[in-house]
Amino acid sequence: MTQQEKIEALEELFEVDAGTLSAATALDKLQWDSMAMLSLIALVNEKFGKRLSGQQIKVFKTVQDILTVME
Amino acid sequence: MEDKVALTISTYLPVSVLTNDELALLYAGWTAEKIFEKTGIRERHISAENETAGDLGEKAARRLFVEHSIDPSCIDFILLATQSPDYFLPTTACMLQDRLGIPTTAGALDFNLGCSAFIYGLSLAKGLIASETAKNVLLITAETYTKYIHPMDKSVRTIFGDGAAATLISITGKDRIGKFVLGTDGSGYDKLIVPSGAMRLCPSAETALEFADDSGNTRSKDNLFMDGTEIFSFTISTVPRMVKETLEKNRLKMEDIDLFVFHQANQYMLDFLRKKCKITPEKFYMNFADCGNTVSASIPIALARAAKDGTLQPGMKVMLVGFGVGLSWGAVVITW
Repeated sequence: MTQQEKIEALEELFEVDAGTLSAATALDKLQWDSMAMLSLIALVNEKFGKRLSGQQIKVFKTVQDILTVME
Repeated sequence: MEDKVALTISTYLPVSVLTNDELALLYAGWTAEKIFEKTGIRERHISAENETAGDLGEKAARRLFVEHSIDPSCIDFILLATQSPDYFLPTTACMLQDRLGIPTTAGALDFNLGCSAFIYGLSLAKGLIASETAKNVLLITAETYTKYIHPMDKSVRTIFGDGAAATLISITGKDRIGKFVLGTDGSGYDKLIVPSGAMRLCPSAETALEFADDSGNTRSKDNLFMDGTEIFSFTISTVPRMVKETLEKNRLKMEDIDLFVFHQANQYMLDFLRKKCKITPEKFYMNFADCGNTVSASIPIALARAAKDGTLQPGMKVMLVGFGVGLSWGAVVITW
């Protein structure tokens, strides 16, 4: 996945319009709730075959934090 | 008694029902429809104040005897799966022997598991029969998680319902139960837990202190806590692999399985697992919108419903998949 594709996937996850997310976007400005966390765990499992834990996710502050684990 | 069936099942759900409309009144910003969208659940049954898991199990067993013309005197072993026993001691299954009119020559024991309990119970029953210890095992899976749940903890109050199933595993049907794959990860013990009440942390004024979590749910250490994110993460990385291993152990391919009955946890998790395991919707049984997640009773309740609505036909190969508290998991293939 390219950086752009990852951002687009996250825009879909957070249900925001295309072009609104950047790596610097703070998660507390988005609907970063339990459903979003489940969707992220599912996404990372599906696309990257990785297991993301709740503990890892809890410390995320920005979209960049999410992008870092998307590989 | 029906001959040559793998399992004979009857179920019991307590009378009182908690609807999404009632829950929406309690939780700001939530509608009945939103609760259904997030969970796939509209109603859950709630045990009465003086109605224990043992009582639910007894009622399910009585229905089993009546609905399937089974004489209690033929039962020679009682297995009760519950995490809400009547007492720390004596064993609730021992009391059920007396209440159900089962002979005193029968064995009886409780075992403490949740969402994987039915699978483990089947493995124990098969072992008891294969070792010529028993011929007719009554496996009761009964749970009352709602008694542990704080009314203002929507993370679990929307999900769990009370219920019981009574399953007869008989020597005539034992060969219809295939091989098991089981697993345990105790490092996840605190992801689904009632912290106080037993020997590690006795209940006290301190454990009863309520607190709010980051999502605005209220609970105390006396209440059920579930880390939904961690449980989801664990499940999606464990279950697909287990399904594959269970096929291999039973020398079967995906196409050989006619129906999959997973523990009926919640819609989101089941949808993800179905797609991840590449199971088509017609082969993936889901029927829990009116009873919620009934923990150890969820798989047998689903099986009984599938048999009743015709989805499940004699001769079908069914994979049963359980996973949850412990953390614990297990799967088996049965020929219905």
